Amino acid sequence: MEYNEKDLKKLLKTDAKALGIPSGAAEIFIERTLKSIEKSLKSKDLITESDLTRLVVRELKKYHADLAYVYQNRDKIV
Amino acid sequence: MGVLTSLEILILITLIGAFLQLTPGVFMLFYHYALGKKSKKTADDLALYFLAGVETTIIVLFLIIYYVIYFLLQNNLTLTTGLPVWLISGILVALALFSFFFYFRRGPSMSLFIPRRLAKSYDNFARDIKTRKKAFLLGFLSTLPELFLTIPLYIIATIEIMKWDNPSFPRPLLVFLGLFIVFGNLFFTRILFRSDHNLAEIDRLRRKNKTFIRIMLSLFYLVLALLIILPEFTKYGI
Repeated sequence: MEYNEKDLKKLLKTDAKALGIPSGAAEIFIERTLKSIEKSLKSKDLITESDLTRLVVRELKKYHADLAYVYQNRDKIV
Repeated sequence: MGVLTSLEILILITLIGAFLQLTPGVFMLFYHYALGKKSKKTADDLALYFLAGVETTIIVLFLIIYYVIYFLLQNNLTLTTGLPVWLISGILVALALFSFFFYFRRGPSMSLFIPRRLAKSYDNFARDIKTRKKAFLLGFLSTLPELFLTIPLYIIATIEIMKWDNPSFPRPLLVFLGLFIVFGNLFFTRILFRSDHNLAEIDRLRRKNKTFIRIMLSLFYLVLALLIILPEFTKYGI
């Protein structure tokens, strides 16, 4: 799949606001998460959706467990 | 069937309605995205329209079924004995088995029986809602995939309400109480969100009670089937 940083950032920001995370803090750790993902992706030509999810969740867990949970489970709520 | 059995049946029906998970799940997604994109006040306002969509669908369906059954009874069709009772009981037993084995997908998540593409569509639709109209529409749409689980309940509820003749507890009050319990889980979810609980916390709570929900749902269907079929057995002296 094609990785779209802009979409991911937008999605994470929406989730962060919904979870009541202060926007300043959210901005910082979303940036850090995206940078880390970019670094990991440099060594890969292709990435599956589940691999990307795993990568994002692993990074987000370092900063906010609820945000990681929502990202990981959004398609498993219903 | 006495007043007490009718009341037991109606209570079971409302409890089943309160234990179904698709509408609350879609509502959670919708409220989460609304909170992420709008102010709390706007999200609350949109949530009311979602709830109105669900309520309108259920009330309209209930009224349609009510008038169809009324028409059938006016034409001297018997629905409370014989084949119709066996048929409805059989359907309820099938739904009990379905609730136990297939309502939830395997694994720890709350994924339901609906196709994953449909679940994704709900997620996408909930994410893009900006107007009250769309919130209302999502409320309506969220009730559709579970209709096969709820329509038999509406049929039974209608028959029981028609038979109801207890002057100390008027029919309209009974219907109102039933609707209140059915929507209980949606209002409870809304209260949780309003009291600063987030999607992750509420979903974890649901997951913790997944087995309980599954067992109770199938048990309610089974007991309902028994309550309906029991008079048929006593008729033959069994």
